[in-house]
Amino acid sequence: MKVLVVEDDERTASFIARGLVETGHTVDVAKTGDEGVQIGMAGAHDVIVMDRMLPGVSGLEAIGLLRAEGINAPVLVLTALGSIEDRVSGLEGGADDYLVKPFAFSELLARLNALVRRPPLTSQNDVIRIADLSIDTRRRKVTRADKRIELTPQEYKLLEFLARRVGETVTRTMLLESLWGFHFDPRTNIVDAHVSRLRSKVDRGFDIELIRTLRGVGYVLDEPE
Amino acid sequence: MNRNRAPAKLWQTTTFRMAMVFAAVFGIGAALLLVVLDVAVGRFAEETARDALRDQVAVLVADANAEGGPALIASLKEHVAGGQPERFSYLVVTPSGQRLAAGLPASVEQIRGEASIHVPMAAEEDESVDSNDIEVIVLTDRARDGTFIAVGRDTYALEELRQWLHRLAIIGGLVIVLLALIGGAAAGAVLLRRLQGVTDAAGRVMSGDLSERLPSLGIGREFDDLADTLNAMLERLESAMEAIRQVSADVAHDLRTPLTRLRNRLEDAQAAPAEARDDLLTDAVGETDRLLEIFAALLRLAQIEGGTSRRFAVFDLVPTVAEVVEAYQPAADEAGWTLSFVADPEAVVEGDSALLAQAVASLIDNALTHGAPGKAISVAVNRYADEATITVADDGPGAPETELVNLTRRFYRLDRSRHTVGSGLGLSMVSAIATLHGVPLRITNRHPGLAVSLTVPTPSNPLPPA
Repeated sequence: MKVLVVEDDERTASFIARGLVETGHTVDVAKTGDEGVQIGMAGAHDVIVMDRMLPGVSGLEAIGLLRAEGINAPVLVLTALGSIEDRVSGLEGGADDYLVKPFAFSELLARLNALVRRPPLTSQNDVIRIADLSIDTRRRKVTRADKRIELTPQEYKLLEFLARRVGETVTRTMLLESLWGFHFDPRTNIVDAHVSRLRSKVDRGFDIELIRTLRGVGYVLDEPE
Repeated sequence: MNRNRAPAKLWQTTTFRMAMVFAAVFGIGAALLLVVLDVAVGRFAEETARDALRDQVAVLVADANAEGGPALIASLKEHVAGGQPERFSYLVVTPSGQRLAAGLPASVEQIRGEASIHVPMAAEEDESVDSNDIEVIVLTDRARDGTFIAVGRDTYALEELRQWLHRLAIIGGLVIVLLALIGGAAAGAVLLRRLQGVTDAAGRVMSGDLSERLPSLGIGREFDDLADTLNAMLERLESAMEAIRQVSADVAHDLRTPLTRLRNRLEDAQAAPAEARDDLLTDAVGETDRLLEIFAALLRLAQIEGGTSRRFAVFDLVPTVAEVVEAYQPAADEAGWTLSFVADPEAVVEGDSALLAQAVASLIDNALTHGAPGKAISVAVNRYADEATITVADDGPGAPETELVNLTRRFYRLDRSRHTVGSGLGLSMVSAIATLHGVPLRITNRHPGLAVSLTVPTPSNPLPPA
């Protein structure tokens, strides 16, 4: 994908740009809000990474200007401010997602992927099929190889979240925020426990493992090639 | 701002200026009152004099009618010779030309009805009246036999009364204004001295002594209320400053250790052979994450304590807490704990649901981390008349009774917990969340185990805000 990074701190900008180029993406970097708006106006980018605090035109103002120009590429706002209000005002200001500095590159990449593919194609379907796994989202019924799998509401919620992002990396933070509304890191690793419980029901006893753990990053639900 | 400003001079102060204004208003008011008095009394005296004149004319006319002009003249002559100290003067002229003139000139004969004339003053009159002429009011009439009767009355007494009233108005006005000035200046001086005390105290606060409090002014409720409010503000500022001081001390102390570890790891990595470097670097990243976690926790704590992230709403505590418990259930199971949840059917409260959820999560975290070798954690939500409580209890070793008060201190850890993971900020955060909701945290030993209770007020207004 083609990414526009608007970030005034050179080290952070080059860290993001290098990582994105290494993972096969094209990157443009702007150092100020004005420059970001100028480059972004071409409409050539799939997703924009915008620092919230920029010299001159602020990140949120830049988003406003781009939106006024009809640029609808999703925007992920980076910020050093992590309070709930900042998050809320950022999302209300036109941001599509919000990531608090410092962040792991894998987290940023997972979120950018999620943004670019939003809305996922599978969201239109009532029944999501991945290999021999089938999820009926209307009746909340899950079967694998035509065998019914009984899930608790929490397990079902987790499975559907992963299934709607099939093939994408989903980080622990994304799960904590979306499924449990935790905008803080609990000391206990509650996500891993939920995933391993889900895995024991969905994957145990089958040859192919659909839910994979990406060490230090998160999880992905996918049909292995 | 000039900290060493000299005390204000009396005449530069608002109180003094106000005293001046009061004195002026007072003086003008008093002067007006005296002028009105002057005019009213003068009028009244003049009216009284005129009435007496009218009576006198009526009596003389009646006498002339009854006995004839000549008889009247005879009796009046006697009367005047009697030397009564009345201030009446007379002119009576009979149709036959007989006349009596006592104090009135012949020209009076031209007057019909009433008039004022000026006559030369009698020599023996008081010299304080500084005019040679004196005004005389004359009233004339005719008897049935044609006798002309004129009675005059001098205005000397009236004039004297008027002058006396003027003097009273001037002297009285001056005395009143003087008194108002003295009173105003005295009140101003008292207020000024009291305010100087407040100014001095505020100056000491400014130069860094935050424990200084403003003295009570002692001159009225509203001033004392102001002083009390300012003192409450100082109290809050002092505790906020203390919190900041505490945080910086904590940060200096407790971030040094992990930073040192991080530095050591990185130095090791520099020295290590290439194949071992990877693991050391992974360790260093982990160490950095822990540091960032502590840092984030400190920031959140500061935000909660500062009250800037307050987002209060009316909501049901039961599903909120239930969701947190459900989120922890698998992790607790895996670690071999029984996590149970008991709640009243409903507990609508007014508070910050996100922060309360975080508090519950933090308490369960604590129980899981420090509760070993306990095996059961129970979470309960109980509803009472005007509050609801969340209790998280474990059956672990609890804490020494003497240490209970210290548990909510930043970075405070029991000796046996020194080597467990955690920032040492969990309970500080929960305590700060409790404080934000206006209630202290209750921590008790239940032998075995530790119970932590958080009380949340129910909404004062039963209807949820729109």
